[in-house]
Amino acid sequence: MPLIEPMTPALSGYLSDESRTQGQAEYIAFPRSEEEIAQVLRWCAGHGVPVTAQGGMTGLAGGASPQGGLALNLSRMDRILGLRRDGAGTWFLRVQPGVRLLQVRKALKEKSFQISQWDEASVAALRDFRPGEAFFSPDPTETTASIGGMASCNASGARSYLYGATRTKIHALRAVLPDGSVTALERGVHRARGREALLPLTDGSTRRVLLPEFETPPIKDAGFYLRRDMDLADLFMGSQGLFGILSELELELTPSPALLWGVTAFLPDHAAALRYVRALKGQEGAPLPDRPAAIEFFDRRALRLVEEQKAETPAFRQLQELPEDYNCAVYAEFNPREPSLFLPTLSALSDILRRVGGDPERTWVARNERELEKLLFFRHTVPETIDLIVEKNRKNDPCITILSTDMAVDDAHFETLFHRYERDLDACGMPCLLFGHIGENHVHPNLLARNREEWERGHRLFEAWAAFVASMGGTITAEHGAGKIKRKLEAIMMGPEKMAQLWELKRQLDPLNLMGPGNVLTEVEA
Amino acid sequence: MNIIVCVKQVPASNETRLDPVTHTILRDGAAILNPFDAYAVEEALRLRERLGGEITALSMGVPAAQSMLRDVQALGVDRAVLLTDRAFAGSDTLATATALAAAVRHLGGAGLILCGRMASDGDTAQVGPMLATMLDLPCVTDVAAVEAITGHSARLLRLTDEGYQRVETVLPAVLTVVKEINVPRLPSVAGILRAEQLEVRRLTAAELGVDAAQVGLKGSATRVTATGRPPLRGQCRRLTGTLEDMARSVARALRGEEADSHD
Repeated sequence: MPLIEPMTPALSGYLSDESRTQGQAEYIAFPRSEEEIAQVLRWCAGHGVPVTAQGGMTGLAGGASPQGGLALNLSRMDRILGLRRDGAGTWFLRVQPGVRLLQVRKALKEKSFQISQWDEASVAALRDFRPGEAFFSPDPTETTASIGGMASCNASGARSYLYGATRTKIHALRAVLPDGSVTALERGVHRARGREALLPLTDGSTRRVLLPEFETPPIKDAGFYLRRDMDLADLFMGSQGLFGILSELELELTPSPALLWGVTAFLPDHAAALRYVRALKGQEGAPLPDRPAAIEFFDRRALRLVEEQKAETPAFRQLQELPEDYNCAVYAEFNPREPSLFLPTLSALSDILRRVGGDPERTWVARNERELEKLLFFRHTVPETIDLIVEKNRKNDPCITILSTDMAVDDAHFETLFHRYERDLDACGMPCLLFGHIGENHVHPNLLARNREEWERGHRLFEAWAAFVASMGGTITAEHGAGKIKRKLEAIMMGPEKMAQLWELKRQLDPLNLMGPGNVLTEVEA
Repeated sequence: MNIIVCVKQVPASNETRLDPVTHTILRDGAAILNPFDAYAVEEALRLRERLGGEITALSMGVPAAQSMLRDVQALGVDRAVLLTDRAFAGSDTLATATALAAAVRHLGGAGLILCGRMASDGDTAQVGPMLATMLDLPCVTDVAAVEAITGHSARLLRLTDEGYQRVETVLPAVLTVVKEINVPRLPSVAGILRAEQLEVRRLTAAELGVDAAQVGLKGSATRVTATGRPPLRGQCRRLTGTLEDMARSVARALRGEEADSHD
C-alpha cells in the first residue's frame, strides 16, 4: 500500500475528532516510522500540501480535524520502544507518538511489553521493573488519547494538581520538522539562551530560532509554553502540530502511590464549596497532613445530569444514590501511605466540613480500587453524558458542537472568575453545567445549545469570558488546546501583537506554512 | 429488628492462588469484603432505617479479617464479631456453617440473617442454606427485593433463571441476596472515624462451645483432592477471505446457519 493514499469516503472517520469538528482532506498517510513521517513531510513540502497531525482523535478542540491537504495519522506508530532507569532511580519509558495512554498504563501495571525489538539495555532494565511500581501520571479523562496528542496539547487531568501536566513528564523527544529534518531534544540538556534557540538536528547541523519576546503565563496551560532559557523540548508541547511532528517521546514515570483514597463531599452551596476547596489547598486554616492529588468540583446541574442518565443507561445504575438537599459536590483524591496514617487527615476533613457547612456523615470515602472505580466512573459519566446530549442536539442543527471551556487563572483571581461563571450561567437561558479541576483553578462551564441561536449566543459568552480571563493574566485553554474551535478565543487572549510574534516563530520553523492549517493561530494585519 | 449479616474476607484479586498441598485458597494477599456480602450489608442498613434495631456483622476468618470488619463497621454496622481460631482453619462450607450457626446461637439469635449469594473465591453458595438448616430456620436464596417486611414475616422477590418469584416467609429466616437488590453505599468520613473507636469482638471455638472435631479441616465433609482448569467453551473462529465472504459468514452465523469454514 502506498504511504500516501487519496482520501476516500471509507476513510471519512479520520476527518473529525471528539469535538465533532468536520474537516476535509485530499490525502491521508499512516506512517509506521520516523523515516516515513519524514518522507510524507518532504512530499508535502514539495507539493505545497498542508499537513494535519492526528493521534487518538480524542481532542475536544478540533486540532486533529484536517482543513484540506493531508491527514498525517500516527495511530500505527503505537509501539513502546524501551525502558531505562537513571541514577536517581527514576524510570523512563520511550514510546512512539501513536501509543494510547491506556496501553501505557496497562503495560506498566502488568509489566507486559512487546520487547522483540527492544535493545539489550532496555530488556535488562525491564528485569528490575516491578509490575505497577511506576506510572505515567497525566490523566486526561479519555484514556484512548495518544501520547503524541497529549504532548501536543499538554493534556492534564484531575491528578495534575499534584503531579503536573503532560509537558513536565515528557523528558525527551524526537520531532520531524516540516522539511523532513529531525531534531532530538532532552529536557535539561537542550535549552534556549535567552530568546535564542538552537535546535540540534540529527544530521549534525542546527536550526536557529528566535523565540517571541513575550512569555506565557505561569499557570497550567495547554497552549504554547514560551520562556527565556526554556527547554527546547517545550517548543513542541502545546503547539498542536504547528512546528513539526513528534516521532518519539520519552516519558518520565512517577512512583506509584501505595494507596488511592477518594473523598466526595456534598455541600449546601457554592460558597461552602469554595471555602472547602481553599481549606483543601491549605489557603485557609492549617494545611492537611496529606496533600490532595486532585480536587474536582461538580455543580448541582452536573450531578442532576448524571442522575437523569441513570434511568436511561443501565451501566450507570451501579452509581450510589446521591444524598438529598445537596447543592454541589467536591471530590478530593489522596495518596495515603497506609490507612491508619490517613486518620488525621480524615479527622481534619471532618472538622473542615463542619466549619464550612458540609456533613461528615454524608461525605463518601472510597478506600480501594473497587470503591474508587465508582467515583471515577461518576466523574467520567459527566463528559460522556454531555457527548450524548450534544449528539442528540446536533440532529436539530448540525452546526452544534460541544460548548465547553477550560479557561484558567491564578489562585488570586479564581473566585472572581468562578462568580462570573455562576452569574452568566444562571442568566444564559439554556441547559448548562459547571464542573472540573477546581484545584488548579479551572472548571469547565458547559453550554448545551439546542439550536443555532443558542450555540451562537454561547460563543459570544465564551468570547466575553476570554477577554475577562486575559485581563487577569489567565489562559483560555488550560488542558484541551485551542485547536480550531478556540482559535478566536486564542486571538482575543493574545491580541494582534503577540499573535504576530507567534506567526514569526512559526515562519522560522515552517516557512511554507503547511503545518496544522487552521490550528490555534489567526491571521493578523501586517 | 436485630439483624445478623454474615460477611467473608476474600482475595482482592481475581487471580486466586491455591495451596499446592491442601488445595485450599491461600489468604496471604490483599483482601476485601466479598462483593456479594456488600449487598447484604447494604440491605441490613436499609432495613434498620425502616425497622430500627441493631446490626451485627459476623465473620469467620484469620485475625487480619478484623480490618475488613472495621470497614464494614465504617458503613454503619453496630457490632462486629470475628470467629478466629486455629481450630477453624481449613473449614469447608459445612464446617463454616457449623461455626456460624454456633455463633448465631451464642449471640442470642436474630430477627433476620442476611448473607451474600456466594463468595467470590469459592463460588459455592452453600453456606447460607446450610446455616438456615442448622438453625432450623426458613431460607430464601437469591433475594432481589424485600417488598414488605414486619417483625414476623417478609414478602420477597427471588431472582431465578426464568424471572422473578414472589415468596413469603415467616421470620426469623436466612436470606441470601443478589446484587440486583441495591446499590451499596460508600463509607462516610464520620463512619470511618467512628469505626476506629469500635471494638471487633473475637470469639474462639471454645468460647462458642463447639467441638473442635466439628469445625476446621477435621469437621469438613469434603476434601479438595485436586484442582484443574475447566475446558474452554469459547468457539472463536477466525474469518478469512474477502470482506464480502467474511460478511456473508457472519450473516450466516447470526442466522444460526452453519458458516463456511475459513479457519
